[in-house]
Amino acid sequence: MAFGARKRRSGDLDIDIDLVPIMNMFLVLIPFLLMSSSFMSLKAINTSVPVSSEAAQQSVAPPKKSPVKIKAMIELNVNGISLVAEADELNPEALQKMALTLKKRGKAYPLEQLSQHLASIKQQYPLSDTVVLMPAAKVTYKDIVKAMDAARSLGQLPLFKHVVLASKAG
Amino acid sequence: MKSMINQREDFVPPTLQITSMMDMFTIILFFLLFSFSDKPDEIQLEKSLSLPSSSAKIDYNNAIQLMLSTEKIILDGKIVATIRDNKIQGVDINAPEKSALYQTLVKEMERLKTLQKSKNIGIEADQNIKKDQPHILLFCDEELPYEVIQNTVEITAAAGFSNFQLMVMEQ
Repeated sequence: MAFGARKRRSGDLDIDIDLVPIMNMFLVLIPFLLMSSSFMSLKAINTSVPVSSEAAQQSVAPPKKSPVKIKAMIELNVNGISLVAEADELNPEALQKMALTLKKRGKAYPLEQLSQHLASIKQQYPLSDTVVLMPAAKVTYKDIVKAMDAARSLGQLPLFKHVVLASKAG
Repeated sequence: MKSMINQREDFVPPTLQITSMMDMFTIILFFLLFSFSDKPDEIQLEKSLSLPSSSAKIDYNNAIQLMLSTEKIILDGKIVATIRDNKIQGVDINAPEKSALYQTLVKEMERLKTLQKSKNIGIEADQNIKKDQPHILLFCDEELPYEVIQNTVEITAAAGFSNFQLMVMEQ
């Protein structure tokens, strides 16, 4: 019995899978995929021609007799941020309470605070969806993009989906 | 002598161990397959251009590429204006029609319109189908001040382009 088993084992052949065709396929596929893959992921922010702040007020003004929609006008200055809320349906005192001025901390804008303030406005008036961003002439593109991001969302919480770029009148 | 013959008889020809190489290739293949994009970037970014990162999720459409670095403005790979001290050289903001940038953009607009017309001949020529307006991909350096972007956009808009996409790097 033991002898027979030993004999069978000695008669077994080592099975080697022929990996050469698979290697050939890999050698063709990998350069092709390397050539066609893109490691630079670009995204876009839709925008239109920047308008003066007065024109922006007219173009994005909500129609009358609609539910309350707050339009946040954000001025991005070299020294900080100032926010003014606008809505035809609310009185000036209520709008004044929503106003906000934030000073720059070193070189960074306090965008977290801005997002939180916009989130509180959005919570109070959920139909609000427009922010008009008015950067000063010397504000860099990086800060503008960051401010746009802060106005659009707070973490995973969506805020104002329409961020319009405008320039100060005059 | 006898021992040498024995040695030759015991000699086993070396086989190439390709298992580890197969493992490596499999990992690379899966990585590349997952990062494979059916829309490869045909965009060659200017070396001096550094785009800011953003949480934006919108994909861009292929369009005219206008790159604004801190030193020059490049339209589809060609330098059309230079920037010095945050001012576009050779451009009078009050009369942008005379600038080379404006004239190049107007020519590009005319070319696009002709191209669009030739595509529509015999198909939609008699139909009042509203076509998408040509738009521009704006690649701006992250340190570029807003006044340069605004002036460029105004000139571009005067040439007939009204839709823009601000390009950013995905966060």
